[in-house]
Parts: sequence; structure tokens; C-alpha cells
Amino acid sequence: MSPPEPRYREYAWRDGREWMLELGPENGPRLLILPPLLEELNRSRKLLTDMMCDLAVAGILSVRPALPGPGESRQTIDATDWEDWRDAMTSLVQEQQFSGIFSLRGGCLLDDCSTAKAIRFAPVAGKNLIRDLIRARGVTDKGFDAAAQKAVFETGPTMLGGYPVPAALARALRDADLPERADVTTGRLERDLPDADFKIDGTPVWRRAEPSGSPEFSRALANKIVDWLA
Amino acid sequence: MTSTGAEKVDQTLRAVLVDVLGLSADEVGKFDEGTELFGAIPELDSMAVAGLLTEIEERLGIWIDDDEFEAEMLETYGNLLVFSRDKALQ
Repeated sequence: MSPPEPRYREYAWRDGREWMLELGPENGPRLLILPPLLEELNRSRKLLTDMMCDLAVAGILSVRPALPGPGESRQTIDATDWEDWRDAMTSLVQEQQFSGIFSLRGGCLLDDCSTAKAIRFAPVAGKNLIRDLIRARGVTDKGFDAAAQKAVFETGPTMLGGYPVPAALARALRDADLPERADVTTGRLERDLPDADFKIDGTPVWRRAEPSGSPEFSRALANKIVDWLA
Repeated sequence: MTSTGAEKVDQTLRAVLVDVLGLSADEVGKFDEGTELFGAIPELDSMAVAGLLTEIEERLGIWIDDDEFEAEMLETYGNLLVFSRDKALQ
């Protein structure tokens, strides 16, 4: 079977437009994917794309939007704040109907944009995400001392994971907890300690320097989603 | 420090290196105290270091303050092991 054709489309939010990747049959159940935030997105892109291909083969249409700021966005990240992300996702779910939402890592922080049922996989609080980014910079940059780390939240923008993150976005991310919502199923990696509704034996590709994907992991995620949407 | 606790920290560290960096269990099994890590293993870039520390914290149930962290900690497997044992078994 030939691989499914990707479709790059646009969605409207506030005064802007952003890209989104669609894969799968137009008449299939529609799944919204909320991808990880900032640098973790780049490391998870292959995993998510493989998962979308597996879903397409199973008859499910999945949509992976670009958030304003990082990735393929037309907006620069230093002009982006947390409300932009929330507004963009809220606009998207108002424009299109989804049967469910799958969010990964920091994407879970935005899944209250819709009341559709949701899977959160390896959810992470915003304060842990920003801490990882600050640590990553501290490992290689001796000048990134306590004062510079404090400035991340006060003056900015600060280069974190390759993006100039503005202070207001860093603060909002630090304060962002997983939203309270109904109809949510939480999944985690097999070796993660916290409780979960289901576990998958995968590897944390969002931490990998060389994100080559993981066919078994993406297939296991797709299988879970297919069962859950059925 | 009990030998069992010390061995458990060793096993946990090796498992984290396999999971986070995608190294083979065989390769990591051969690491000794002198094996060089940061700067010697291409998979261990700065983002991976942050992820590695977070995974170590979660799996050993420890908290590493930012002012405790020094780059020397990641120079060799032995340094990382000593630091983690001191934190986990104190």
C-alpha cells in the first residue's frame, strides 16, 4: 500500500493563519493532535508523523497544527505569548469538529480547548518543561548563571532549546498546570513511575538528540487510539 | 550505604542511559567508572542531559538543585554514579 498523501492546510486564528498537517481519509473520524511544545516538538515530529500514517491506514484522519511561534509558523516566537497558543487551538476547534484529541507532553497543557474526549500521553507540567530547557542551556553555557536564569522570567527573550523565548511566555509556561477536564485518559511510558490509565513500552523520543522515531512505539500509540475512537 | 542500594542505583542509571539516549543495553553494560559521557557520546547533547537528569530524579526519587549540578558530574560514568549514589542513599 502506498503511503497516505499528506495535506498542508491552513487554519484561522485571531487575525492570523497557521499551517496544519492532515493525513488520512477525508470522511474518517477526525483526531486533533496537540504536539509537544518548543524543542520537544522537533524531537517528537517523526514519532507523531509515523503515528499519523498508521492512523490513516486504519481510516482515521488526524490533524497536527503548528502553533504560532515555533516550527513552520509565520509568527516569530519572540512575538508569541501563551494566550496566542490557547486562542489558536480554541479557534481551530471552533472551525472544525473533532472526534477526539491526542496530546503529547506539553501539548496536554492546551487540551481544554475542546470538550471532545482526550488522551494525554506522558503529560508534563509547564514548570518541568521550562526547567529542562534552562538546565539544557546551563550544561553548556557557563555564563548562564543564577542571575541569567532569573532573567528568563523577567526580561528575556532568552535562547532556550534554540528558540528566543520571551519572558511572558516563560512565566506562563512555568505556571501552566495540566488543565482540569472531563473525559480524559492518561497514558505513560511503561517505566514511568506515576499512575496511568494505560502504559506503552516505548522510549522517550522527546529527550533524544537523534530522534529517529520508533516504529513499535508509534504503532502502539496508533492502535490505542484506534480502539479508543471505535 | 548498602551494597544492594548501591547496585540498584547503578542498574537504574544504566537503564536511564539506555532509555533516554537510545544506546544499546550491551554498550551501556560495558560502561565502567572511567567511561567518558558528555562530549564523548554524540547522543548526549545538552537537551538530552536535561532529560537525563530529570529521568534520574524521577526514577531514584531524588531532587537535584540547580546549584548542585556541575558539568564534571557528567564527565564520566563513575562521576555520575558517585553523585547519584550520594543523593539516593544519603
